Amino acid sequence: MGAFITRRLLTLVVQMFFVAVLVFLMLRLVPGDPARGILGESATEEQVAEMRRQLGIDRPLIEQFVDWFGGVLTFDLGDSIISGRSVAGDVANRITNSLELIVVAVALSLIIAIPLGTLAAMRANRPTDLALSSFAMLGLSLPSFVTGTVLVLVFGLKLRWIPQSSFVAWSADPIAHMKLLILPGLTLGFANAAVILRMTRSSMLEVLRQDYVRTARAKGLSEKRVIAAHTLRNAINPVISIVGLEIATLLGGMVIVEQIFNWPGLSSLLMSGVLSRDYPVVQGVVLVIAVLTIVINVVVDILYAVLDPRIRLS
Amino acid sequence: MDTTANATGPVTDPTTAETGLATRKAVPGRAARWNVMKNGRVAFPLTVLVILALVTIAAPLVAPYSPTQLLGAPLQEPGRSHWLGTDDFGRDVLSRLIYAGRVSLGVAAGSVALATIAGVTLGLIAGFARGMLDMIIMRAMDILLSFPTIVLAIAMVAFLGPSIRNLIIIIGVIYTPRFVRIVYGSTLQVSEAEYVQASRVIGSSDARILRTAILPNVMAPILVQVSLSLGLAILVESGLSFLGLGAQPPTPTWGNMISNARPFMEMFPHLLISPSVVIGMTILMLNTLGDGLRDALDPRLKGSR
Repeated sequence: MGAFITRRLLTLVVQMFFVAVLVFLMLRLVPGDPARGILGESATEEQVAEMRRQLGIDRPLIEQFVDWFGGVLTFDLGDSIISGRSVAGDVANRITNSLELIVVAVALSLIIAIPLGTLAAMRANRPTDLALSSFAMLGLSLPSFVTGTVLVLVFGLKLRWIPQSSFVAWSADPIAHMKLLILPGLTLGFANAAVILRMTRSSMLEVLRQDYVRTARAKGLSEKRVIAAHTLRNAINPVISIVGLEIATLLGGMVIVEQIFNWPGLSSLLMSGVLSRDYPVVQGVVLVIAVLTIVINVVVDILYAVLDPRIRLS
Repeated sequence: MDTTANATGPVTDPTTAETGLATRKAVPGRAARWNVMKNGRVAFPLTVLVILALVTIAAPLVAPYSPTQLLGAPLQEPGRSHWLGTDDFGRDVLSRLIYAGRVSLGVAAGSVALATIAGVTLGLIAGFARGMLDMIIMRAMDILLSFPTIVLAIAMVAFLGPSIRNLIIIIGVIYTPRFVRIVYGSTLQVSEAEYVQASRVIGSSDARILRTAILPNVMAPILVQVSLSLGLAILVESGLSFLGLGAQPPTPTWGNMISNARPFMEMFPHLLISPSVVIGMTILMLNTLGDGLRDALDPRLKGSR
């Protein structure tokens, strides 16, 4: 087990290093001079030179990278060009909101999808299964900005079940804060639930065919017990691994969902950086999101190995 | 997705469908290919998608009005002269929807074509060359895969700028690793096979092995991946336009039509409904096609996604 975790952590470090390299090089994608790009055509040569110095692009590439990467290692992601604030500080202020949204979305999707996926497998190829599988296909096909907008329209504006208020911090009013999380959590959870439902269904079908399930039934166990004690426990592992694989999709969806619901997470920081060409902010947020993706993936991998000895031994 | 489809769905390839564990199946012959087309889960979505593509290609002939012309009263409900109503600028929604399809479908087709060509090439190189080059290519793909697609897309648009050409390149790059992995895996697997080793022994060139052994084996999974990636590419493109980072106004896109409709959605939901239905349906058809193709062409892939 120790060896497995060490190996996994080692690949994590290597992967993060190269991700940082890629994020660093992104500034090179800007056609022409990034400093000119930020300031516009009307800026004077002196202003452009000053901006080049501020961005650090007046120095040799390697030196820039060493400097930038050294900063990253000490959680220094540079300063915003527009506000002058530290990017790491702005990220720290918002990251809990984003993580909260992810946790709520994953929890909701598991609560929705595992029972429904199990039900679909038990009623395989019957109307219930067909309805559930179509529902899952819909979840895979509808963009989150469509689902989110429709949810706001129906539950927020038409039925008025959920107040359309501006952001309330957890510390100010926990209940109002949680209420605000419901719709974004559902929106983000819906697409994820679709994937988990499909996986649960096919994994359950696989296990239901096993001999030991037939044995359990033959010895007269109730169907409830067969499912709960013998089938679900064995079918759940692939479901966990798919949650890990879906983390990247989830974090991507998060960016759009936060925009729809004005949730003050990483996305608003990223978008304001993009719209004002605040390159250090964009690089900082993209790096943080990529690192989050990698870290959560490793955590899920390790969790998977803990739950399933067959993985860590192979 | 469906491990028991053979019991209910049309059996498409008797040699593999019966056992479900065909090993190293060659590309379906002409007869099997015809059977795939007769499979409802392939033929239906394909028909819908072809019609959709034809309508968008023929946009100037089909659309009742210009997509950008201001035609008078804004925010009209759907009616006889404007089937889907008009938007907040008094532009015809149906015409905009049709022209917007050109952007979404065009960008999706272009980017997936790019991803397929780049992915197949890199996958073959990595699979054939092994060693150092193999490692570099595959690790580079891992790095690309560690970013959430939409985040990588947003970042690249931020640095490159949002033109249609850039969108095609960006989305193409993002989906390249999927194709590399498929081709790489198959190439490794096939090169180990005895018939390929034998073929090498009798002096077949790499090109010949490629043509006769490897390409036929990767065709089915690539086809499935093309279909699923087209759906994902539309998701990314429309997501970017929704955020204002796609094709810029006044060019209509499905994504920017939805974001434009949001301020008016309580009073005028028709502005929201039509682009939502079109995006949802297009991606649904592509996903159904992908699932159908996968089950029909290659039972081994069932349940994977």
